Parts: sequence; structure tokens; C-alpha cells
Amino acid sequence: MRRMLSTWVRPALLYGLVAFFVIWTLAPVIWIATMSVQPEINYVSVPPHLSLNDFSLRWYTEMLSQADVAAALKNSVITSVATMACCLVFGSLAAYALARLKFPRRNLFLGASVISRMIPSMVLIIPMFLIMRWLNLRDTYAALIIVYSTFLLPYVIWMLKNFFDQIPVALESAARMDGCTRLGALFRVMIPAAAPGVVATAVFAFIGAWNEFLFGLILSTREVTPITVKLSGLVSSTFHSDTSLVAATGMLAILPVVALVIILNRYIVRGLVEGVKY
Amino acid sequence: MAGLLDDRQAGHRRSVIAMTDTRPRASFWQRFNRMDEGRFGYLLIAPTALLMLVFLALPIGYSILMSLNRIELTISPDWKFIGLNNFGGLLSDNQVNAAIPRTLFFAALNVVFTTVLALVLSIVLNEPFKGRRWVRVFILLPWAVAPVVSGVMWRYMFHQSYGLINAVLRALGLIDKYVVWFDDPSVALSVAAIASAWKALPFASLILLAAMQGIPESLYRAAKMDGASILHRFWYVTFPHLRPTVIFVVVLQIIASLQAFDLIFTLTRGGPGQGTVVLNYLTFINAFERLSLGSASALALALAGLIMVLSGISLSLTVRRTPKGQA
Repeated sequence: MRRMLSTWVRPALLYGLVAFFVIWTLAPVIWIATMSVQPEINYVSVPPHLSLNDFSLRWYTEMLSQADVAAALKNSVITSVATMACCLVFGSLAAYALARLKFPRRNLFLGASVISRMIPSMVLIIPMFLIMRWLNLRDTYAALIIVYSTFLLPYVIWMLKNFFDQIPVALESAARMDGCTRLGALFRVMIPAAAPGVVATAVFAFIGAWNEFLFGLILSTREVTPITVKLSGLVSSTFHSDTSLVAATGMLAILPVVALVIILNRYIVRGLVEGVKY
Repeated sequence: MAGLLDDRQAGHRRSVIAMTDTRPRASFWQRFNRMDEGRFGYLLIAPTALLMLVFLALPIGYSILMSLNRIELTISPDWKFIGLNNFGGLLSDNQVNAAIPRTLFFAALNVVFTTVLALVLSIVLNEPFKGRRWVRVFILLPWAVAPVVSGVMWRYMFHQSYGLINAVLRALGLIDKYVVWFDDPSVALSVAAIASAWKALPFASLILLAAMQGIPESLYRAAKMDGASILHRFWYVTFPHLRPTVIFVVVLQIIASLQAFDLIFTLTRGGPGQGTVVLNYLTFINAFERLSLGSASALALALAGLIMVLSGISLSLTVRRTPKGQA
């Protein structure tokens, strides 16, 4: 009985579970991907008859040729890249200070950054709307970049600090001894030494900004609408339009992040586990 | 004290040099690099601190201010100070009272789905099997998908006329006609919980896996030698070590449920009727559809308070998990 359990029941159970989790994870993505390359009639009919002969990318080309969708993608790229850059520059400066320097009220700042991670965005959204209107920044990239950076920075700083903490102090002292300045040591020694962690943090910031929705919805009216907001608009007004178009837009909205996850998988996994440590 | 003296001596030496030295004054960069550690530290955190002050502390203060006033923009732009009445009114508000059970139901399902699936998945990923490397890559995907998009995906999975679930169930002969899943509020909330668990699973299982891999192998060998079965080994060795992480995942999902908005916005738009309007979604409706900014702020702050208490719990768990952290 024992032997039977170990020879085939266990592997069968194991591979069964693996299959379940792979299907569970990929089914929604594959379904929307299928919908995005088939005419609507194929999957609306009961039962659906999907066919390779009807395969077409025309819903993608049609969406990309629509000015507002292309603009939304461009907006998302601009805000996400700029947010990532802001987070890396400000975040690495602050993380370096927290990891290596002793300065008064250091713990106050650490505490404030921990608490700021707990504040739900719904609390901030009304005042943020009013502040941005008052600053005349509504519907500008600056507004989105500032807001995204502000709520991503506490995470970014913690991740980077954890990575910097793991670099031996001797490495930096050696550089300083050789005449490197403190900032020089940060940019020439610390960041290169923590490169995998910095990559993970950068991806984290990019994805965080790319996926943001609430602030994008409220702070943009037309000019800087990100793709997430555009997609939600398409979904709710789909009565007369082709569902394949919405599916294609959904695919366009996840393609960059999915590509990042597949290419930089190892870094991201490490970064995620590192990010929850305090 | 010694440091102070050193500093003074250094200052003295510097002033002597300054008096006798005929070289040009130190450039900005030279002086910048000679700055003392404390001031340099301040300088480095200054940009972040400024951002957090203006775009985090200020809005929170403003939000607290609004919560103490009656602000109904549909009626008038005036603020009327009413003290804590907005908070008192929350509990007698019909909308809030309807949203609380929905939120609890959603949170309970979300927690159960995520925790159970994450535990099983982390055990599976800890076992060696063919293609594990690739499975680990693909398993991570939902983490990177925006909640808005995952709402769209699960809407299409359960759609009444082109949902994959309907097609599969019909192909298996379990149903004759396509089911209109989103007509029933509790089914709609369950789908929302499934979608939420789908997105949360990669992260939850990753940190469980990390905790699992931190358990010393010797404990398993000892248990094996004592004749413990697989189940016993899981229950008496693995689980006690995982407990803090499991609780962390549970708290994280409660927080996520209290903050659910994006997902539901594209999944059901709060429907059928108000059937999936959870508390955070109600805040949005109060603020941007009813334009009653005072009570919306009060609700948001009440939720934030709850979330911060829960976060404090999860924080204490992670701190205990990594005692070497000096923070």
C-alpha cells in the first residue's frame, strides 16, 4: 500500500495539481487572447466554434490605429517609465541614506514610510483631485508621475534598502579609501553591486505605475488617460462595438508587463520576497 | 565627547588653513562631498520626504478636515462644520449597512480561496517535477496583470453569452443553457473573490514557498525517522513554521478586500443593482457620483483606520519572521 502510494498516486496527484494551477493561471489570459484574434460570432455562438482559419490580428491593428487607444498606450509608457526613473533616483538616494548613514530622526522617517504603505488610495483621492486642480496639474503627466512616485516610493525604498543592507560595508569603504565620494560610492559601487535587486525594484515600480487605475481615472480627463482607464471605458460601453476589440485592448494592456515577467522572472521573484521583509 | 573635540580641532585646522592657504576656495562639489554624515543623510531623503509631505501628509490632513464637515456638492459648494457627525452617521447609513455584509462575504471567500490555493501551490512548487522552472515562471503572471484587466478577463470567463466557463460546463453536459452568473449578487461576489484570489495567488504562494524553504531539512529527517507520515510531517513540522506567513497572507487578503475597487469596477460595475458595491466601492460612489465629500471622507478614513490596524498586525508578523532586520 505504502509502495503504491509512492510509485504512482503521489506523482499523479502532483501532476494533477500542477495541471490545475497552470490551467487556473492561464485560462483567463488564453481566453481573452483567443477572443482577441477571432471574430465575435465565433465565440458568441453556442457552442463556440473557434477556428484557425478565422485567425486574424485585425482587431489589434484596428485598435492601434485608433488615435485614443494608441495615445493611451503612449501615455502609460511615458508615465510608467518616468515614474520608474523618479522612484529609482529618489529611492536609491533615500535607501542609501537609510542603509548606510546615521542621521537624526532616521527612525522617524523609516516609521513614516512604513505607515505610508498602509494608507489606502481612496483616502487620498479626493484631496489629491482638489490639490492637482489647484496646482493646475490636472490632466498632465506631471500629476500622474508625482502621485505614482509618492505612493510607490515607500515600497521602492524598502526593497532597495534591503538589497543595500546585503552588500558588505567593506566594499564601499574600499571605494571611499580609493578616493570615491559618497555619491560616487553609491552610483559606482552600491548600485552595480545590488544590480539584480535594482532591476527587480525598477520592474516593480514600472508595473505598479502601469497597472494603476484609480488616480488615472480621477486625475486625467483626456490628454494623459492611461491604458487601464481607456480599457475600463471600452468595457462599459461595449453594447454596439465588437467585443474582440475590447479583448485586443486588454491584451495590449498586459503585453508589456507579461513580457517583463517572463524575461525578468528570477529578479522579480527575489524582489517580491525581499520587499515584504522589514 | 571625543568626536566633538576632534571636530573642533578639525575646525581649527581648517580655519588655520583658510587663513594661510592661498588656493581658491573649495568648489561646490568639494564642499558637498565633505558634508557631515547627518546633513548628507537629510539631503538624500529630502526629495522623498518632500513628496510624502506634500502629496501624502497634506491630503490626509485635508481628508480629515473634510470628514468633519458636511459637504454636499450637488446642493452647494459650502462646507458646514459638523464635528464627528459624519462618522456617527456611517453606522446608521443604509448604503453602508448594505455594503458591510457584502464586504465581509467577499473578504471571507477571498481569504479562503487565496490561502488554501496558495498553501497547496507552494507545496506543489516545493516538490521536484518536470518543467517546474517553467511552471514557476507562468504562475507569476497574474501578479503582473492590472486588477482592471483581471476584472475584464474574469468578466469574459463568466460572461452570459460568451463565457468560457459556460461553454465548458455545457460541453461537459452539466448545464443545457448558459447561466447568467452575474445576475445573483452572491455569485457575482464569489466571482470577484475568485478573480481577486487569482491575482493574489502568485505573491501569496511565493512568500509561503520562501518560508517553507527556510525550514531546516533536519526536522523532516528527524520526523521521518520517528515514522511520521507525509500528513503528519506537514501538520507537525511544516505548518507550525508556516503559521506566521499564513496569518500574514490572511491579513493581506483582508486588507485587499477592504481596498477592492479596480477589479469590481470592470468586473460588474457594482451590479447587479448594488449587489457588488463593497465598502471601498461605496466610498468612490459617495465621493464621485453623489459628491458628498464629507461622508465619503469619513468612510474612507474609517476604512483606513481598520486597514492600518490590520497592517500593524501583519507588520508585527513580518518583523518577527526576520529578527535580524535592524529596522
